[in-house]
Formats: sequence, C-alpha cells, structure tokens
Amino acid sequence: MPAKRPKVAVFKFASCDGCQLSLLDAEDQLLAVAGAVEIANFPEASRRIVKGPYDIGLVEGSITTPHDVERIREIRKECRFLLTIGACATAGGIQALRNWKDVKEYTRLVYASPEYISTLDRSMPVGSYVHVDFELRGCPINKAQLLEVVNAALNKRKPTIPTHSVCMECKLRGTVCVLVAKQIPCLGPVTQAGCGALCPSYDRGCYGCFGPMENPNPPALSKRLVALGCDRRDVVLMYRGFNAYAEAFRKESDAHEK
Amino acid sequence: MKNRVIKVDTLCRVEGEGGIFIKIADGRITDTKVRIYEPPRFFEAFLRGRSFAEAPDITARICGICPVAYQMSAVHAMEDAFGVTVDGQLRELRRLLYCGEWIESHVLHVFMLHAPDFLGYDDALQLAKDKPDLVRDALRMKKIGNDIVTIVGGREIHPINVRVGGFYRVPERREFERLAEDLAWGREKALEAVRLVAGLEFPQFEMEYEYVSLDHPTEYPMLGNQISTRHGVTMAVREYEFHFEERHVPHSNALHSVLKGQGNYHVGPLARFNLNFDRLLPVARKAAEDAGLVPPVMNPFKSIIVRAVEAVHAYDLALRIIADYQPPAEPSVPVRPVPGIGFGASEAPRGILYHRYRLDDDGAILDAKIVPPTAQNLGTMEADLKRFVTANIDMEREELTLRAEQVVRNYDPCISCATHAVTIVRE
Amino acid sequence: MNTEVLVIGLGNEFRSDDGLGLCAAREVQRRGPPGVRVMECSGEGTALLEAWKGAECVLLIDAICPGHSAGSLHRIDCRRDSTPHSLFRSSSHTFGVSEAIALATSLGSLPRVLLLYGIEGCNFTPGQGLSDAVVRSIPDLIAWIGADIADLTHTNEPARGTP
Repeated sequence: MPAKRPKVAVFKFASCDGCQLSLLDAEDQLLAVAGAVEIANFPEASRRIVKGPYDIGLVEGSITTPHDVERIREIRKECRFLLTIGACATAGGIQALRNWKDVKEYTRLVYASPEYISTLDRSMPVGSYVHVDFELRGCPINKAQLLEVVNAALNKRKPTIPTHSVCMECKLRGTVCVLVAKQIPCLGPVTQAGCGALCPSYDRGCYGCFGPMENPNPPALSKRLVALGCDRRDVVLMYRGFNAYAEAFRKESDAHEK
Repeated sequence: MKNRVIKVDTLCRVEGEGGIFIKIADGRITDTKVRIYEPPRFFEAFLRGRSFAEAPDITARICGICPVAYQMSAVHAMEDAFGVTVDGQLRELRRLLYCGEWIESHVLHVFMLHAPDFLGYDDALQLAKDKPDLVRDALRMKKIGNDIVTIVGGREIHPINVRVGGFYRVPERREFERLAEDLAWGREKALEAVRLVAGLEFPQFEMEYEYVSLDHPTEYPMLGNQISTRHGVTMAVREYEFHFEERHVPHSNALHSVLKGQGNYHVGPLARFNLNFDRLLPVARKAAEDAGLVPPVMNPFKSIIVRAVEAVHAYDLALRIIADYQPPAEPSVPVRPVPGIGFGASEAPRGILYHRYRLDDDGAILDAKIVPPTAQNLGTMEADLKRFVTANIDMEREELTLRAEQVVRNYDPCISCATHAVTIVRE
Repeated sequence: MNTEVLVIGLGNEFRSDDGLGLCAAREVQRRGPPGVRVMECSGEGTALLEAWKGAECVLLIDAICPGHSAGSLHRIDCRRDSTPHSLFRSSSHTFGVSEAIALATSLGSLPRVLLLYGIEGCNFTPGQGLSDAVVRSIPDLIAWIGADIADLTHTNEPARGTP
C-alpha cells in the first residue's frame, strides 16, 4: 500500500485571490505537487472537499468579520501546520487602511443601505487571533517561496526564506540604487526581500509589497525621503500601502501623521 | 420532491466569495439569489486621499485574477481627467499586456474550471488523470499568458510596470524573442480548443440578452472610450452613469448594476463576440465560423467556445504586436495633474470594468467609483438561474444542482467562485 | 434612496456664452436620468431662491466670467466652499447667484446639497450661439454632472470637495 499522501487545504478570507492563484500559476510544478500531496480543500480549483484534519493549511486573506474570527479558530484546530500566505493574511492587507477610519463611514460611502453589511471595525492579520506556524510575505507571494515553505513543512525542516532587505536583492542583481542615483523615493531599505527587487529594476521605487524586513530602521529612511522632497503626507502614504498595519510601517506612518 | 432549496454555499467573488440560493415550493421557484458574502474591502473609500499615481497599483489588488484590467481602467480614467492620450507603441504594449491577461484567464476558465463541468470531473486534477496531455497543454497555454504579463508588467500577478501615461520601463525587442514561437504554438492549441469545446454537448437554453460591450471602430474591443448595446445605443464611456445604475440588494455585499429603464444586461465574452464579430482577427473569426458559431449566440453555455475563440484572437494579436514592436523613445508620456473628473473603461476578461475618479489640484483622489463586470452580470445570472431551474424543475437533484452551478460559471464570475460544493435540501 | 435631484440651468441664451447653462441643462434633460427634474432660470437671485424651494439636492449650471482660459470647467460645493461673487456674470443681475446662496445660507434655507458647475466663457456680447471653447467643454461638463447625479441618487451622499 502506498504511503498516505499529506493533506493540504486552502482557505480564503478577505483578499483578492492572487496568492492562491500563485499556486495555480506554478504550472510547471502543479502536477508534480498534485502527485505528492492530496489537495483536500482548494475551492478555487475543485468541487471536491475532503474533511480535515489537514497536514498543511494555507490561509489567504485578512480577518474582517465576526464570522471570520470563528472560522479561523475552527481552521486552526483542523490544521497541523498553519501557513498564512500574503500581505492580507500576514498584515491585514490594503483593506487594513480602514483601521485608521470609522468603518461605518466607509460602509456608508460604498453602500446605499449599510444596514445589510456586517463587518468588524478592523481588518486584522490571522496571527492576531490564532497561532501561525509560518507567515509568508508578499502582495502577491512569490510562488518559489511558497513551494519552499510547503516543501519544508512536509519534510519537517525550517524553510529558507531570507529576512534581509530588498537592497540586498538590488545589489545581487546589479541594479543601480534608484534612491541614491535617481532620487526616487524607495521603501527597499526597510522592506523584506522576496520579489527579486522588481520595482527598482523597472526604474521605480519599491512600494513595500513584502512588508517590513527584520529589524528595519524606518525613521532613518523617512529622514532621507524628506530630504528628497517628500512632505509628511507623502511619507504617511508610502508606509500605508499593502502592509500598512505591519507594526514597523504602522508606527512610522503614525509618527508622521501627528 | 417539489419543495426544495438549492444552495451553493461557497461560490463566487466580486470582491470575494458568494453562493447560490434557489427555493422551490410546489414546483415553482419562489426565490433565486446569487449571494455575495465576501466581506466588503472598501476600496472606493480608502482610495480617497491617495495620489492619482497610486490608483493602478491599489485597484489591482481588488482582483488577483484580472489586475491588468483594473490597472488599464484606472490609467485611462486618470489620463481622461488630465486630457492625455497614450497611443502608438505604448498603447500597443498595453494591448499586449491585456492579451496576456485574456489568455491566462480564458485558458484557466475553459480548461481548469469549466471543461470539468462538461466532461463530468470534479476538477482539472482529476481530469489530468484521464487526459494528462490535455491538461499539460492547457497549463502551457496559460503560462504563455503569464509570460506576456511578466515581460511587459514585471510579474504575473499585480504587475508593477503600469503607470498613468504609460510604463515605468518599456521592454526591448529581444525580450520578446522567445515569445513568438510560444505564441504561435498557443494559437494552434487554442484553435484545437475551439474545435474541442464546440463539440461538447450544450443544454438547449437561450435568453434574450441585452449585450453591452466597449466599441472601437477597428478593433475587437479591449481598450476604448465608447460603449454600445445590442439594441443600438451608443455612448461615450463618460456617459456610462446616465445609462447604468447600481443598486444595493439585501442578500449581497456586492452592488447590482442595471441598465436604466431596461434592467439586467450582459457583459463579457458573449457580449463582445455578438457585438464585434466583424472585428475579430481573421483567424479567430474563421475558427468561430468553422465551429458553427456566428452571431447572434444567445446560449450562455456556449460562452466556453467564445472564450476559446477570444484566446485565438489574443494569441494572434499578441503575435502581431510583437512582430511590429519598436520600443518607444520614452516609456511614458508626461502627465500633469489638473483638478477634474476622469472616466475610464476597459474589457476585462469578464466584461466592462468602469472606473471614475474625481481629483483635486494636487492629483489627490477626492472620490472613486468602480463597477466590476461581475456586478453588472449578477442580475442576469439570477435571471438565467430562474429560467434554467424553471425549465428543468423535474431534473434529478444532484444534476440540477450541478447545472445550476454551471449556469453561474458561464459568467466566470471569478476563479474563487468557479468550483464549489453544493447541497440541495428539502424544506 | 430615490432622492430627487433638481438641475437648474442659469443664464440668457441671447447673450452668447451666457446661454451655456441653459444649453447644458437641456442636454441633461435630453438624457432623462430618472429622479432628475430640470429647470431653467435667468439667474436672478430671488427667482432662484423660489425655484429651489423644497428641493433637497440642487445642481446649478452657469457661465463663468473670463479668467485664465475659456472652456475651463469649475465645480463648487456651495456648502463647503465659498462662491466668489467675481466668478459670475452678476453684472446684469444686481441680486445674482452668489447673493442668493449667501442669503439662503443666512436664512438656513440652503438645500442639503448645492453644487454649482460652470464653464468659463469668453464672449458675452448680444447674440446667439456658444463659442467653440465652450462647446468643446460641454460634454465634459455633462459627464461631471452625470457622475454627481449617480452619486446622489445612489448613496444620498454629495460628492465632496472641489471639483
């Protein structure tokens, strides 16, 4: 009898589906992965749902409703290894911008009959409600990193995911620094690597898709941004992007709003 | 048997997740709903105060399946507000980028999400066990779309290279070298796909739709500033809100759009095909004709063939653009913010995506309005469901549930909605 | 929901560009958006106060005095922004649009939503017909108004700020 294949499940909360799509976009590896694991719950791809418990649970999206809170607690119980994928699940996502506003005001702006809408005041990362075994950054995630984390989890080893800044990736690929050479505002010095320093290689500044790096120094960067001509509002907006609610970015944007 | 509820708990997104709910009492349908319960993410609200330059990157995050569509509609709206026109090779690059997204999205839908329905499989992975070559080819076809988006846009999901006025950096000719061969291969495979899906069995089901699509004098529409309807109304994109309005209904977190004075309408591949057949590139038009598909096509189940035809068109268009490509001297035209309002629309794989922004003199967004294609099709989906279930009310429960899901899947509401478990329960 | 919107075109069509408000109002009328009532008015202040009496959302369209460039569009949210007297062709009406707004403000009878749109004209001599720059801007103006009507009838919420 063949060994039982590990069960993998995908769950979605408030998000754009892009991170799960990375899994379907791993065309070259998808069939191989499908052979190695049992895709037990992947509503994006299949009608078939296999009951838990699961060996690995991938969670996309942020927690934004009371129902979400209950659901993520149930999911945690069913998953041996819980992996959050992307900026929404890991930091609350772009929709965490509501955390600075009155959500009722937001509802009223978008919907004519706000009484039909049930929502929490804030958009929160999965990790603020349940224990998460690994948080994979990115908006969207890097699919090679996803395969690495899944592979590591299946083989019970520590995943190799760098926590240094985007600057390292620029140096590695030989991209000239856009901040120094072209005076383009760039979040690269405080943002975690993972995208391959994409934006600087396209002549634009990093906008922080992968969230804060390990031990970042945003105040030092902000000083430089101001020297480049950014006003307070520009600095606030730069940190308030797809990882606005990640602690280091949140604190820095708040500091410039006062 | 006569009293029952068809319920699909997890279906589709507009901004996310939804389901189907159909209630039958005494052999009559008493309720039909396509429900959206993905919590709202409030994009229109938090766009307020952001810079015009951020709109393409922020709105891309509404949808990981069609970020290019959001970026295209956003940049066109901003350019409209600033009185800037982007044409020539920059416009061609935009169309090329869009070809990539159409290919990705259509191939994914045709093979991975919709074909299993017709062929009786749970998903493409099950299908792959029986027909590995078919699925392998489909994955490669889709990857070519991803490659286009990666080359032009920087990465396949949430591309980073699109800006108001053009791009941050334009590709060099040599970056497309490898692509031409792949595209030619993809076009052949897409032609095979048209023949394959045209041979599927389709339920006898036709509806009198009001089709609506962008309208361009010489192109099968992707980008454009004119909208036409099947019944001969033509309007500028900026007149959109005189003709269409959004309604908020209790069972849904998404807004429903209607054509004023008329009600439901239909956007997407079928609408584009029926209104712009003469502007399909010859190879795609011939493929459709050979498959017996000529306007008017009123059977929504046949949208799967139209998607395959549009894939042929997109591969062929991409080949033409690459062949003629000369890198423009500047990656973008200069834009200077002026206070005002901008209107933009483009043809997302699922249909018209409308954006409107009001801007202050610094180019900060005062307010934003975004109408995605799925919101425009929701009313039509519900009408289809009602008609379909009424006509097949005696169908066996499991079959009917499956078919009901398929009725919604005809609109490819989004990938997350595309496949899910269903239950029918007796009341 | 179902807020009624009142659109009032202001001006004198026999004074060239001064007629643009009437012309634009007729364009709105021709499109017949549901829930919208269209009126025409000379721009005389007291008549204007009478015209919008009882209306909740009022959109005014008027010609604007030559300033920096003919054909440029303006949109003023009268509840938030001041309406500079100098912008309007008030010379022919001693009690004009700005005065009507000021008086209604002090009387507390300003409509809940009052938006004022204008196109900068260049020719206000006697005669019929609009100048080219104005004609080119009318479709934009109509689109702006259409967007506001959609917002008002959808969320009851005036679009904020200028434009």
